[in-house]
Amino acid sequence: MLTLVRENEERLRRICRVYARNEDQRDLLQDILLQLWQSLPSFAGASSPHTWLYRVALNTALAYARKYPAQREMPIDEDHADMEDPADVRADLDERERLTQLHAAIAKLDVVDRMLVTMYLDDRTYREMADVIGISENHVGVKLHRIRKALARQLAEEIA
Amino acid sequence: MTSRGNESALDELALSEEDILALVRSGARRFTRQLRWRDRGEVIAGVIVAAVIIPAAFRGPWLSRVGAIVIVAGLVLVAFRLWHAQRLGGPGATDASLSVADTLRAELRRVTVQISLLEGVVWWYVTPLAGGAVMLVAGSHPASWFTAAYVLAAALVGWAVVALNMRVVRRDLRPKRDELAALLARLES
Repeated sequence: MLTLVRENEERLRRICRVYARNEDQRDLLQDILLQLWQSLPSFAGASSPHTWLYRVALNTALAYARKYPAQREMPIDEDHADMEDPADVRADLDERERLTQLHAAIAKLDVVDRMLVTMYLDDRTYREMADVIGISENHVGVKLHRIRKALARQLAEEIA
Repeated sequence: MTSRGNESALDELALSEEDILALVRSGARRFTRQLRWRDRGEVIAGVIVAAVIIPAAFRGPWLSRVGAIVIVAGLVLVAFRLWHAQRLGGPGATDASLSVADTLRAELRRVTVQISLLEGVVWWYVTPLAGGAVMLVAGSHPASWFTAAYVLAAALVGWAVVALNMRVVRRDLRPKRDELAALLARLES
């Protein structure tokens, strides 16, 4: 388990940053490590180590976020189908400011969407995301499409 | 894109092997402590029943003996209902290696079973235990003010138990069930 945690340290930190306030991130990390340790017997090679780790970490983070809601959530509105392309929006911002705004926008997503964004930012495939969350690959694609639009809208509002 | 962008307290925490083990150990200690206290509570309750109630089933007036038997049977029923609810509810969120959707479904099932359990507390908890206690006292103090006061006290305690359980259902479990259902719907939409 130590090897797995060391190899995925940055992933776990990222999940903690997304789901807990600054001062609570250590507590969430501890909860995740404990869950990983307790869930080790259930990891019998049925899924890849990454999928297993993501499942345990995200389930723990989701439970933590439900217990200690910290972020204002922004529902995704599907009626904004003709939004500007995210690439155009991004072009108007310098790298650092863009990242700050992107993180602020991600923090306003609801807990379910934050899971997908976390894995998307980690370059996980649709198949892996579907395995972790328990929905189809097509569904993952649809949800990510909506999330991208919502983030683009949020960033466009920031610029305006 | 990268997720780096905001500094956090976590950045100061270098995860050496000792750190990881220390975090796991302290979390495991907390978890074990909670289980130990819960188990101790059950053992203490069992010892009290064995010491006080069971002997009363073998001596004294017949009504008191019936009352003692009803209490013991009620405690068995309570234990069965709790065990049954746990079995029906499944492991809940304890198996964190399930997919997120399956974990939410399991947790939703567990909470729904818990709600049903607490909503019926008057039948499987209050009635047999309070009824048995009243019979136990009425057998040894027939038609007395003490018995009347005891019945009143048992009714009040029973009412308080039901009210507290309903409060938990209303303030804690139903919102939790609604939140889980909403999360699941959000995941599946």
